[in-house]
Amino acid sequence: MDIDEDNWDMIMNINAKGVLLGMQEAARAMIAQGPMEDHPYKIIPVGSIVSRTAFLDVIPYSCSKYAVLAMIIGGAKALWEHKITVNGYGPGVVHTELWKQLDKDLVDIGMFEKEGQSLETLRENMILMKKLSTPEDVMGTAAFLCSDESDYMTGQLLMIDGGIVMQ
Amino acid sequence: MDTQRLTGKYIMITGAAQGMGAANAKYFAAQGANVCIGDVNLDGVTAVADEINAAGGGKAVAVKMDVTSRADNAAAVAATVEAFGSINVALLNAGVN
Repeated sequence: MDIDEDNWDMIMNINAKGVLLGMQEAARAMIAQGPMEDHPYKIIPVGSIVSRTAFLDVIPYSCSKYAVLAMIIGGAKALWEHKITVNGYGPGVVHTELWKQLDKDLVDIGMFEKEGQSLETLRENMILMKKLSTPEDVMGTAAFLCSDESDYMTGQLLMIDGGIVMQ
Repeated sequence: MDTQRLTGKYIMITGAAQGMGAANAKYFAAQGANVCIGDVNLDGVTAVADEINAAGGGKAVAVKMDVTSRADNAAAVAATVEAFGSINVALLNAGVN
């Protein structure tokens, strides 16, 4: 009930419209270059665990990341005729500045009592591997999606979350 | 691991001044990719590019960009092509929560 319209607009603009514009402008340049001989071009939007299951109290963020999933699938279908693939990855609970801010926000809205508690609760109750993620956990899959090794896949969103979302 | 796994990849990365975007940019360049990294935080993304260029793997250029601006997205793509001759991968990483 407490979703703020300005917050909604800010998150949707950056996370959803930002991906749309990046996808459009990158694809425009790739199409102008013409198809490569041996490999497809690759567009890689970053999703999230909340691209597949919305969490309480981060609904605008979840909506923006569901939108990313829609653009991965829709973009894959729209752009293959130009030999462009679209695949994304969905990090889980990655211990970056972004999550530190979210942790503070969840204290501010009263969901948790003190900073660090949200991350610890998520780690203990949601992550099968019982371990928070670091950017290093994500880099290998991101590099795979950039590489020739992922040529024969499109429209996929790979979760790199230690076992939070399985589908 | 093949350290040249990403040779010949000219990659635009949005939101690369910190966190996963910066980590990916460094990792890709270490594997041979050239990266054009954008962020609203130009000082931050320039520092990441400097670090990549000092490391001696793939090259990096930094651009200031607001991903909600079509002109900025187009300019970042153009900067990738201008620096490396082509763009063949776009990693759309910028985000807030």
